[in-house]
Amino acid sequence: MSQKSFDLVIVGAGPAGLATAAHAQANGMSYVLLERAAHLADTIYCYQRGKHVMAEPTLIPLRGNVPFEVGTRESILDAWDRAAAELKLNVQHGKEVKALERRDGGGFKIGTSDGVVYECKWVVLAMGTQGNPNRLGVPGEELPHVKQRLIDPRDHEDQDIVVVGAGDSALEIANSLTENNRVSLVVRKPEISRAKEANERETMAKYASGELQIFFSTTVGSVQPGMIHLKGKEEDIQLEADVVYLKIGAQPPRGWLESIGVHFSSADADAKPQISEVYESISAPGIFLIGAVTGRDLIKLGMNQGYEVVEHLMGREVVPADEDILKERLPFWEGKVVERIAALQKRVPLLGTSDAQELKNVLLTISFKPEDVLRAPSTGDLREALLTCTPRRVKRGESIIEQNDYTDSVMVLVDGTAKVVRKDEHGPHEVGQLKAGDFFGEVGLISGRRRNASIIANEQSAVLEIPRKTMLKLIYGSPRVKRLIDEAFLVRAFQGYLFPGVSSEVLRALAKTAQLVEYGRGETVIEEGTEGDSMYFIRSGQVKVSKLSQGREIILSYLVSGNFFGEGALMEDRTRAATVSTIFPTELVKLSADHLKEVINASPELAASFRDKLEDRRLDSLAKEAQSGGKYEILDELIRGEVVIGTDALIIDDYKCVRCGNCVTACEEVHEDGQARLSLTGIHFANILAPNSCWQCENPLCMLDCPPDALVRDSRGEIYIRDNCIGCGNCESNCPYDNIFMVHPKPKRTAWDWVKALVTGGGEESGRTVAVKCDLCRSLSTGPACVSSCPTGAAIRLTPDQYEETITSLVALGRRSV
Amino acid sequence: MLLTTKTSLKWRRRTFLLFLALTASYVWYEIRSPFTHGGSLFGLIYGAIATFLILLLIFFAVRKRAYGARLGSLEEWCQSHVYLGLLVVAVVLAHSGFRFEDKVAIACLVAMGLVAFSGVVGAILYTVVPRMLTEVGSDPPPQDIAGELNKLRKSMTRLVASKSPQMRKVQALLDKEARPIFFAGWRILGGQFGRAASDDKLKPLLRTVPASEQEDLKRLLVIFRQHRELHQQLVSQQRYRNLLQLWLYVHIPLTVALVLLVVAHLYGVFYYTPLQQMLAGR
Repeated sequence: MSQKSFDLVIVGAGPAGLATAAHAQANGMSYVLLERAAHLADTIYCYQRGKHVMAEPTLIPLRGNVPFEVGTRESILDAWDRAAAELKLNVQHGKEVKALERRDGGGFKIGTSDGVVYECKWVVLAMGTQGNPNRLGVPGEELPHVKQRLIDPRDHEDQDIVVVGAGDSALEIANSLTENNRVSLVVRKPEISRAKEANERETMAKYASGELQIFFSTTVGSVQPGMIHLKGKEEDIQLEADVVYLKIGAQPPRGWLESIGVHFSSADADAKPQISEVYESISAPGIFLIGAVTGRDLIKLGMNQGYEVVEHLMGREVVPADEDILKERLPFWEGKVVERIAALQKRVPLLGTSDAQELKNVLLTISFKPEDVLRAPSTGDLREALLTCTPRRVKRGESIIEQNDYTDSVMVLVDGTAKVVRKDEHGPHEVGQLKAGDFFGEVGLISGRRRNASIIANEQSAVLEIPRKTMLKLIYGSPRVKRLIDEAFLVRAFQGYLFPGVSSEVLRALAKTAQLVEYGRGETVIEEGTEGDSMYFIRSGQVKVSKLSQGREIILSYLVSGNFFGEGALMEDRTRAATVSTIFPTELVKLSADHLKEVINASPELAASFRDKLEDRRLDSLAKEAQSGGKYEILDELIRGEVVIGTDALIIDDYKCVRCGNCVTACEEVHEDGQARLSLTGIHFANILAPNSCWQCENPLCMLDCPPDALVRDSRGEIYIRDNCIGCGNCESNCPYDNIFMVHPKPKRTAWDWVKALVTGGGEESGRTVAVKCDLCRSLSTGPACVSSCPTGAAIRLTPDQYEETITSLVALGRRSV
Repeated sequence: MLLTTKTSLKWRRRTFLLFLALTASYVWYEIRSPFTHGGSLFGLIYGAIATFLILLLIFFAVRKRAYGARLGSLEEWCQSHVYLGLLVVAVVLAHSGFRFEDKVAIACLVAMGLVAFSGVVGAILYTVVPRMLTEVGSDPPPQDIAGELNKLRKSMTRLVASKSPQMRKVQALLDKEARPIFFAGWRILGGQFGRAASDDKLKPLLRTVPASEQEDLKRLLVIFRQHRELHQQLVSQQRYRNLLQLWLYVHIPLTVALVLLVVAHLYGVFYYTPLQQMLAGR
């Protein structure tokens, strides 16, 4: 057994490990970089071919001399391979770290899978979060045709492929390969039980149609070249296999880390290891953790961490790479960023560290778990969050947010005071005051609706604007932030939508009785004829109100967030007059009728305001009686097609449409990438077609999960995709209406290119995939090109208040002239 | 509904007013001038107006392709194209002073009449056909049907790949019907959409298929039936779609011819009689 001794052992030759090694080498440290795989950066190596890799956060400079810039998987891996070769980094491949123990007299001993023991003063763990893939433990598992990851489905054509496993990744691989290959899936259990429903459904459909073979209750006996031997319940099976994909899960690195003494912040699955400012484990000194394993999965940050660890080990003071930028983000204070963040936390309870006692004054409800409430965002979280925030100084009388804008950031008033002004039919009037430390904008964030009031500075003030995505990250990461935002939402949404003019004190009392309930798509909240005991307020989402008439469901109306229903529970007769069910996933605030009555009776102003509301409702429904029945039918169709969710939908009148396709051509032509955002398929009712083209949802599901935050909504409510789209396809799969398209942008062609194309037979599309969706031609002053390029006026754009009327008249016109 | 929309009504009114103005001016010209002809001052003015209108009407094709253009909506342009296209015939008649002597000029007039006539046919088609097409239904859309048809044809081929020659003969006969015919797009306008595999030809072939392949034969025929039904659905949609484009094959080449004739007319007229001379009243 050979022994080797170094200053530093780095585990994992990903970007963070490479950066550490390069900087250690530049500083004359002795080091070794141990890598399990036969190549560098295994996580990125296993990305799909051609995948676009981001270099976020763009504002932070990259430290050290290992290159990294935004590009494809190939260009990045290539740059690192070259850097490792040019710098002659001491990388040792095929070294899986098995043991790590402390040496007597300081330092560590590290044992690898091949029996080598390395000794060192310090360890840097840059091992990513992939973990160790589980092994089958059968002969032949090491053969070259047994693979762990599928890099590109196009690599396989007309092959016999065996996929082992029943998790999501196994099913995804099997499903993606069936088109051009003969695929068999080997499942240990008698059924598929731990995969996502969509994957399972697709797999079972392919199984049923014979596109895919599945061997249930079967295990792998052995693997031979070109063959796999399976052990079924009753018989053994011999299958041809050009490739075998093993997808039987992995052991996450946490267990191993804990075994060597690294403590995590909590027992939660997403908890992070506790580390110091210089990334040293607090519980296991001498062990440094950098990169994805610390919960910061941005490549550039991981690389900078590696650089900084070496700086620290060399005895130099480490100034974080984001220091200068963060100072710009927090110009309201002096000193180091840590000090500025402390000042911010002291000023703003939302982001702050105040204790449970202090929080009792801020919180509405008494029953909170102190440990939850105390879990404020860490300095590290705030450093990351603040990078995307914008500081603003506002003059006296300047508005910070405008009523009716569709913006969805949250604002923190850092300095000064401001008033809340709401405009209604009586003109603008003040409804509240804000002081330094208060936050606002959470109603837009949660409900996705327009701002329900303007905020105007009373004096020279300072504001910090936190973008939607960052705020959501803070909310998910800190129960305390979530709690404060949720409760503020309740009071302010009541004030904004239900009881304008009623004081916050009374509304806080009301909010205390509230309960948050969540419903999925198409679930019934209250049922006609049953007895009700509560009223509901829609926090986010949409519901429809319907009634049974002669055995047929008639839809009376649909309600978006900010509305209430079920007020009948407060009356003498508590029988529900209609059925209310959700149109798509909806969050509701449930108010118990008894509590509500108590609060209302205790406050004359609330009682009066509530009476007005109920009277409005009653008159509305009376007026509906006078309207024709045909209207309901159309509304019904609209709701079934979920078009009502849109704020700006494209509608085509088939009776006028001459099928010239000029709308689609126009769409292709006005967009630089030459791809249409419109397809003439979609929902049909009577002579109306609502084609597949984004209708700008009030509550856009596409925006929920965009890694680079490329999907944004402007103040008019238009949702568009910025250039930093990475083509991950999340928005495409999140859009329930198939209105986002994944395309390869077409390059702009010159006349010469056209001539060349004639000879060479067509131009090439760029290999990059991006998501495109209708942006309502924001760059054109003439509005959407599909509408202005329709020769017969068949294509029109409608906002929700126009839906019923316009569509009813179009259908009626069509019928009359039949 | 091209001709029944509000925008259409607006342009109909406008054009009618212009027509009245034209008629009034022509009556005045007719009374004042003993010899109405294209070379007189009025004739020249009418000619200039007609030329301008023709250019404007041709510009519709440019505007249609200028997708981000600010020059009004395409709907307005389309309606103006329809009605001004009719008006220009009247203007040209006024220009001629109802004197038809020059052969090139007559050719111009005839070409223009044909262009206008094909345009009228087009406008009527645009008004009535979309409704018929909607009634036929376009679900699934033609492009999906086409893909489905190909799939069915492929599975027919696959089914007989390792079967007896007799079976393959049946498939070949059925495939003949499934295969598109020449000029299919034009011929479906007349209701013809392929060579139907007649029972006379099919039955003798069916008899020859060996008993062991009867099950497969049934499957083949079922697939073929699905293909035929889908094909008919496609044809019933496509017939109307083609009808909507048919007239353009007349309208556009004729327009090109008209433009060439107008250029010849202008060149000829001004070559032999310069403008000054015309204005001086030859």
